[in-house]
Amino acid sequence: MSYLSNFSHIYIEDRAKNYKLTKEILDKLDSKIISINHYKDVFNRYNQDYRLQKNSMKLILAVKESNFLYEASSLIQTQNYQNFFYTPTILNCIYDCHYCFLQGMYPSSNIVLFVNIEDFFDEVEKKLKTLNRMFLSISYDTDILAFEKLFGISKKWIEFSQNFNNLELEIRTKSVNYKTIKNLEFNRNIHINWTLSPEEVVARFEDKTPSLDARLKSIKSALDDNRRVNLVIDPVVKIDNYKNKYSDFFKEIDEYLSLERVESFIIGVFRISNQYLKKIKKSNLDSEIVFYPYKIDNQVASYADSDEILDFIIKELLKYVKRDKILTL
Amino acid sequence: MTLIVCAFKQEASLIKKRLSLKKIDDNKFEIFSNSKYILIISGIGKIKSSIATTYIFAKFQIDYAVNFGFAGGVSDISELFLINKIFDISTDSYFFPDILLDLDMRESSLSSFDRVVTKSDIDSLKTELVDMEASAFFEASSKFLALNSIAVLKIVSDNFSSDFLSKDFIDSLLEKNIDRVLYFLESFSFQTKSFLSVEVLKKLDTIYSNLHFTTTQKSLILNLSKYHFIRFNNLDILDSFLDIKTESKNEAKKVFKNLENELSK
Repeated sequence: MSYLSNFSHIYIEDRAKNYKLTKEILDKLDSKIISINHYKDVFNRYNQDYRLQKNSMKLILAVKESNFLYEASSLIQTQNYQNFFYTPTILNCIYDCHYCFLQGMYPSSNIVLFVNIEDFFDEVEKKLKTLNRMFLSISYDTDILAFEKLFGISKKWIEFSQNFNNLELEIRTKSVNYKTIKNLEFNRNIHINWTLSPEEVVARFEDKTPSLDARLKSIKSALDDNRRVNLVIDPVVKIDNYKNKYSDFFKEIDEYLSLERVESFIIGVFRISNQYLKKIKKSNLDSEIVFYPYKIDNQVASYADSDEILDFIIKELLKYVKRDKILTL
Repeated sequence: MTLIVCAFKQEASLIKKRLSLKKIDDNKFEIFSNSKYILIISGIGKIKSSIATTYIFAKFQIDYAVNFGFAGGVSDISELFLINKIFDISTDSYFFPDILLDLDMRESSLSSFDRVVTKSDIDSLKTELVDMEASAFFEASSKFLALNSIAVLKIVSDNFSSDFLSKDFIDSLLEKNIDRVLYFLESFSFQTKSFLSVEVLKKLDTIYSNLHFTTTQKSLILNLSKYHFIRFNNLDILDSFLDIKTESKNEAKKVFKNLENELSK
């Protein structure tokens, strides 16, 4: 017995049918189409099995009506930027990282794509008029670049951002799809932030993601193109013998990339809302990272020695880069 | 156990025979079962379907639920469909089963009516098929099960004609599709078992009971047991706690701490 492939079914809001993006996507897929009134009729259903759905994620094409921009929460790395916003063009992720907060946040692992991308652009443009400068993450509730071959949303955001000199755009990713945007001409207002982990963490806790080696090749290509590249070492996971393993990891990535070429390092030890963690525990995911006996502080679960872990990671990184390049929460 | 809900006897006849289901003693419904399946004849209509479905959930441990029966359709007489969208005509609400497994089934949408649908209704239909039970069965089942564990299977028996369907014709529809229906029932009953075995869960129950653990303590020990099992692929450590019994709260607290420490390693 096997699962249906991802996107075997596409649920489409009636009002989303005539959008250009909808038509572009439907041209690329041979899926069963199911018409719906509102994406929440499918996405927010009671009693969905998030974990099993991960084996056969469906696509939901919808039109977003409001809330195009959110201000960053306290658990988000704002990288010392003022006016840090994120925008949810896509909900959920094609990858399956055991530590991902999305499992606790959404009732479904199906993917929602809002096809009215121009409405997001309008909202950002309006907001920009009220701010000197804006830092916008387009990849927080998803890995937007991982979908690029199918949706092409990163390209649209990049092209839009080129009209403004006060808009900084962050694409946070684990994907190796840099090649899909490599030939675009874009200014230095685009930050491509790759999340990296030691291969053991990738293999054990980051299902369906590209290997560390594959990510490094993609990063090197971006660095060689003189793009603004940041490395996100978040979450740091306390695997057995983590000190040696993270130490070897930094050595390995420095040898391949030369870490001084990287603009900054965004560091964070694994932490998650306890409410989300409780929900993930009920989902039958047999992962050590889910059932680790964390310390709960202000409803946030993290390692009891997370400060010590963070200090160690910073100390190791300082072997390669200066302190002002290292950003923490 | 998988629940099969059929509206009337003839829909269930061949399934009963092929699965060797035996009638069980019940004074409210006709119910048949074996070790894996339980089938109930609900009667025709949404209210009867939801009563029968809920009745079984209240009495038995059900892991999967399937509504099997006939439906009206504009075309495709005698074809079997897995329903991917159900419209309840009286409440104007939709239900969407989660279809995750690749079982090579034809799919269709279906509307559940409170009355017999006739040819005069065809132009106003929002779906390809119609019946009189599926929405109620689905809504009742979804109170108890995850949506991927509930399915609706329909064979198209008529084109909204009021002509009487002969027993031979109905039997021929069932004969044509029974192998696929049984294949679906067998394949659909895949399990999402807890990764802790039944034996381990029993051991934990014994420890909880011997030491009068609170709900919070039970939850903590269960999660730590999962953590320990993932790390070491065994929970032999529980054996040394199986025979400890106490009525003293302080003593139980000490044992709890000890067990918590052992499992956290």
